[in-house]
Amino acid sequence: MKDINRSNLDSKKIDDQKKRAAEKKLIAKAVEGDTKAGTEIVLQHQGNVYNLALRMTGNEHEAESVLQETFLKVFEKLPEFRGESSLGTWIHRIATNIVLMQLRKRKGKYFVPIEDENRADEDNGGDIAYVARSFDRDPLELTLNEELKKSLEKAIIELPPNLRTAFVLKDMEDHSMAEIAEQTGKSISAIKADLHRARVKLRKKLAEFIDKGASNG
Amino acid sequence: MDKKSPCKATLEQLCDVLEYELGHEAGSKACKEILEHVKNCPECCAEVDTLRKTVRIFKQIPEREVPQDVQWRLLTELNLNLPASGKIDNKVEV
Ligand SMILES: [Zn+2]
Repeated sequence: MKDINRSNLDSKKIDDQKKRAAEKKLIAKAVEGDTKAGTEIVLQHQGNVYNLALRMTGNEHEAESVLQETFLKVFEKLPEFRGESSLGTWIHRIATNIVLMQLRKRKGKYFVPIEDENRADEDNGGDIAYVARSFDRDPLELTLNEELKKSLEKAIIELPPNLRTAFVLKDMEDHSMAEIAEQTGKSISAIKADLHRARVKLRKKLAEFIDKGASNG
Repeated sequence: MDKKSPCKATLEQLCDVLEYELGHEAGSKACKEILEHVKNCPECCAEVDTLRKTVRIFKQIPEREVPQDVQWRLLTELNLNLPASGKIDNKVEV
């Protein structure tokens, strides 16, 4: 048993090394102007960037513009890439900075005074007893059908921008609190507060979906 | 929990507990103390449990494919060529 685990671990390590070596080669080729290598880099990482941008902006046009800007930057900076992280992590970081910049640019249009947001939260937290009752139907058993997927995506888009940023980066993209604080220029406790409010709002929406689903079925 | 609640756990503390439980952040001593409280408090327990389920369900939303026209415009913008097949295939060999 132990030996099997050890050999699995070893083969994973070897796989990682192979992957890194292949990646290094691909980057070197792309830097030399090999368009096939460049295309391959785009095709490998575009999905990650596009989905991050789509979830953060909630808008296909803005997501596309983030996608283009990110890869323009990636190829501009690629000769400086030192391989301290994987290429994917490095690209993801560039994309995050660009999408946050984009959100800041439009902040004027979407800005909600904090006091108003807090007041709205008090009505929107939902009654925990109601939520717990809905959740007793165990949402994990729930099948993510097209309709529910769309509803959940919409629920994320409808969050105020600061709450959405915290939720998407932390809970969907797995950034650490410290990373998000650095990327957004906020304190860790401000991020925690945003994250918590986002989760509470989404929990209420989810409880309503489950409730609706249960009464329909 | 809100002001009506007799609980000593604040929102931020519950958030810490959740992070610890989800395995994202190391638990501080204070966090572990709150976790003890949460285990024995039905209200806080429901709070953390439903939040945990919420995060898990949202995490299951699958990624969307990049639409073909968006890929086209991206590659064009970058002066890159389409793969020789002329078709964009997302499953590229590494
Ligand atoms: Zn409690």
